[in-house]
Amino acid sequence: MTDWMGWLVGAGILVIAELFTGTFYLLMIAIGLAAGALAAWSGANGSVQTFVAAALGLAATAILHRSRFGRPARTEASRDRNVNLDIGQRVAVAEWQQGRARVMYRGAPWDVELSPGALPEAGEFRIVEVRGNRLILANA
Amino acid sequence: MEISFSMVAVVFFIIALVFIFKTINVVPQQHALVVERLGKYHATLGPGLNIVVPFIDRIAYKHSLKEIPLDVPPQVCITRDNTQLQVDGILYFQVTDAMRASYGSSNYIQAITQLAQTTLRSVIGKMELDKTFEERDHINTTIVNAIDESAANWGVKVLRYEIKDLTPPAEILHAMQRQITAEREKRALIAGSEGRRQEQINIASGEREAATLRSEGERQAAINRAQGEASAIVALAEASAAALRQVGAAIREPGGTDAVNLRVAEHYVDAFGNLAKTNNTLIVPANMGEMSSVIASALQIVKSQK
Repeated sequence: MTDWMGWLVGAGILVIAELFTGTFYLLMIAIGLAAGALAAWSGANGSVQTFVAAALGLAATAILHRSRFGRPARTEASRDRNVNLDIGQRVAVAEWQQGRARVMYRGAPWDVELSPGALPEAGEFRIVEVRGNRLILANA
Repeated sequence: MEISFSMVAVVFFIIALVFIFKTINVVPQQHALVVERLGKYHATLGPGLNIVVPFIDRIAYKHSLKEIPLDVPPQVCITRDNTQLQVDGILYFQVTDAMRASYGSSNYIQAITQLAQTTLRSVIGKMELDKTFEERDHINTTIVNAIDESAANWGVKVLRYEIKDLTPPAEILHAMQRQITAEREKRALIAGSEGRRQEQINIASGEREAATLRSEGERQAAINRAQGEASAIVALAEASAAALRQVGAAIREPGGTDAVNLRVAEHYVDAFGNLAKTNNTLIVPANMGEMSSVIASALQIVKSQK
């Protein structure tokens, strides 16, 4: 088996492993190995092939970091609906006491707090943040 | 030179592999990773693809944000009336703030478990044994509220505490069973006596109604009979009156008086004949002449009829 075949077999195995695990980093390494295969096919020696594989793996990771997939979330975790499914849900508050209340939500009593600028009136509110075990509410 | 270059290439390749491993993180839904940058909290990684900077960033904590049922170990509590009670419960909690769950408590699971147990002892200690069985909801709510107050900075929310089992000592359990058995027997006896009482009332009431109806019937029958008899007497009297009127009318006709006399004479003779038949006493008319005169007059009538 020639060098480029070895690199490609490695890349193929990693792609299969990636399909089973969904880690994403195996794909980047597979890209590096594929680059190694290209280097081998173009006649570079083993060390150069290894260098090219490593460099292309790192480059692929850097490109991924720059892409929209690798961009970190703009919102804070405490306000991110992806992190906390309660964000955006509605809660009914009967009475406020100095901007705080105790309400039933999801079958359990919760402490709630008014977000800055929200009006302390009875009615429906929207969860905008989860701070510790307190829900921060804004007018719906 | 060739060997050293190939070694460098291999090392570089290994570093690249580790770098890629450490840089890319795919976080599943309902999980959160807490990232520290140079030892300080930096960010909470939400679900999806996340890239951290190796060497300066470190994934310090991993949290599941799902609701977790936590079995609280059984414990012995003492009630207000000094009865030992083994209580087994289950706690449902959820990490709501990954950052506070990482830094607010060294071990939030142990913290909420211990707090649930101590609060439970406190709540049970204020209740009498019988109340503990009735007030489960109150116990659960009190524990949730107490943990909520304390856990504000632990990043966890205790949603529910449910008592699975309340087990009193065997002697108390037997006494309770005896009590409930006696209670049920008492109820059965009361129900039986109530049934018998109702039965007697029903029977008496039925008899009274039957007697009333019977007497009503008899009264009605007597009235009917009396009315019938009265009607019969009236009818007989009317018939007698009509007959007498006819007899009177017949007497007033020519020869009526003689016919009457003949009939009287016949009756007289018949009556004497009957007396002679029925009695072994010989009856002799006081005035034998009377007898002959009767016969003579009867014969006279017969003759006049010819």
